[in-house]
Amino acid sequence: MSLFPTQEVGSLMRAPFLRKRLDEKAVSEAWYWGRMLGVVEFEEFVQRLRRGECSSEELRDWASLYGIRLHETAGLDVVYDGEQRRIEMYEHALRQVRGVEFLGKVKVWDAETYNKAAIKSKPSLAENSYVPEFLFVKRHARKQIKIPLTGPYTLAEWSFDEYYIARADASRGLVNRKREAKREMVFDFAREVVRPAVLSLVERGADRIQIDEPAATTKPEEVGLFVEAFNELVKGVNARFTIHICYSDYNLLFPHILEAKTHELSIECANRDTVKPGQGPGERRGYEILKLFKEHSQGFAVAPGVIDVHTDFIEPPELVKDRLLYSAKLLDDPSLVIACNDCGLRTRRWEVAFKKEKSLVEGASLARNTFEKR
Amino acid sequence: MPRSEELIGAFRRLAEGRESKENVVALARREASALIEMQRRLGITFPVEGQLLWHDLLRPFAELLEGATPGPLSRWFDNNLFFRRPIISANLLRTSSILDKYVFTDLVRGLNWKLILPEPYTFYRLSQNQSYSKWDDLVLDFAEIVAEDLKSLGDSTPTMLQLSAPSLAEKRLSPDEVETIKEALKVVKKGFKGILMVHIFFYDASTAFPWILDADVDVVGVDLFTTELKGIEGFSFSGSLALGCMDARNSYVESVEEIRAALTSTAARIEAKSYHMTTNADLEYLPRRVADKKVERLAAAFQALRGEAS
Repeated sequence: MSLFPTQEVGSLMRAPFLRKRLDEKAVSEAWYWGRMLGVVEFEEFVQRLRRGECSSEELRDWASLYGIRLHETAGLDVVYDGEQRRIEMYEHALRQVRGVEFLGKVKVWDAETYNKAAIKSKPSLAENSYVPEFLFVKRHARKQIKIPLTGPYTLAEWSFDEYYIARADASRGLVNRKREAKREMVFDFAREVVRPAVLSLVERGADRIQIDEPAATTKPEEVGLFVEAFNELVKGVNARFTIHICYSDYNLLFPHILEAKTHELSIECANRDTVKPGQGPGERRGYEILKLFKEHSQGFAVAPGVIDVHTDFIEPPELVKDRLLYSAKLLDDPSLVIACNDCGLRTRRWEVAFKKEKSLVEGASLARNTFEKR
Repeated sequence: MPRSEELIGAFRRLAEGRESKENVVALARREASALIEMQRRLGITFPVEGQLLWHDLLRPFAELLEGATPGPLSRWFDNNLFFRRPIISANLLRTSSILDKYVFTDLVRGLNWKLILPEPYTFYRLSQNQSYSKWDDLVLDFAEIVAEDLKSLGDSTPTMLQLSAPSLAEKRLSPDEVETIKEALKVVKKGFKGILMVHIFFYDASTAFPWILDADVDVVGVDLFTTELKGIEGFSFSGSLALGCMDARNSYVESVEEIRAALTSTAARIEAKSYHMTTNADLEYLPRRVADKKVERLAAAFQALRGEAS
């Protein structure tokens, strides 16, 4: 692949026709995007949609197809379907796991919550919706595919533990008991839940897998555990792996992250950067963390987010180029830089998401040209 | 305490403009009343009001103090929970009462109840200071504000004030920091006539030992799920120790036997005037029905242990 390959990170907002209320606006949006993205036979689909003839399974298939085409039409090198079949990254993953019970909503901030589960017995993969999801994407995508999965550390960290803690040796004190229980839980998620999903995907042809670990640095003393669990799940697997960690203190990853058997690390940087043009430290303050990577001579490529997913501001291609070139300068090697977003674009309207991805592609092209001219 | 799913839904609708503030407050009030009643029925010594109107522990101060505004979402220590970091753009000024707008004062009038507020140094650490040239002035100003504002509660003043203080143990503090913290606690203590507790949780409380034992407080709380007992072993304290013996961050409901074991093994290692039983932190990390179970179990353990002691 040439310099600054472009890839998405995961989610897109649900397709207009997957919304709860299928009104005329949603139907016309389906038509608009079908035409815009060159979706084959979209006219027939929209007619059936208008007549209410599509089953929910069909709607999800079409949403997946639209998601793939959005990324492809924007020009990305590596694509997926915007996770159109998934609820969100935690609940979707755990709904497929035995030994888990959802207990109800817990606060994340203000009135925002998530449905938190407790581990009641040893977890194992019961269903594997990733395989049919992947096979659908594989059948329809015309670019390389990268499938995102939620990682074992995040699944454990975001869950309650009622199983391991009850089994752990209480005689060694509450602190050790909790520590041992957590370790066992994280490793079971790695071995019994995520690794089986990964193996079944690789068996069916998946060769790029992204492990999402947004919780990796939540407990600084457990960063080493996150890395160990990651290495356990990828052990001997023949695929290219990306670890994605967003909205975290990346200083805390060191030195453990250097031991991770990953090919790529995807991090969020644009959100903490300025939007001023330029390739100096003042303008590009969101990328300073890359110095630490260089200092430690990390053995993997880095995908610093160059698109902020929490704003409707469309980054001009020149800004994307500046961010990529500055990253290349800090890492002292352009071949180690991948162009992508800070995170999934789930919170952005498709119109915004599409423009952002196009800017990403154009900006990466500008950055590439800079090197080709040299 | 965590909000019920019904109350969470009401706050969500309020944020989306689909619910009136009056309705949300009325629902919160009903929940607070039921919560207090449950704790009284269970025999909890110092029931809490629940602080259900508070989005986070710092928010009333960030919203109502002149010089402060609620800033960006930030991680609440090492949890998957976020708060709005107060932005301190001018020196803090209390221009009106705060707590009486966030507490259902009539529900706690005449009760031996417990209020939970941020410990001043913890407030400072969690804020973004853009105004004070000396950080200790911010800590002391906040202590003054707390002491002053408690008076706004009038005859609903709590019997016990818990200052939540994870920042005292997040790292080992310098002598200057320790002196300022002690001074701030003195300021609060001077303005508050009830029982003053500093609760250190999420981190190993021994990091703040032994200096915290000399602070002007009546009760020091420790999180037994993060505190290595060997770190606090051998100390003696003229005040009371609150032992966080139930994990507020996990849904596993400890048995009475487990609670007893945690308490007795700790009490055997550190001498104090008396011991309080509590959860290691507030319960908002749990769904409401699980939090209720924890409170019930804590009460059951208390009754069992008290029975044994008598």
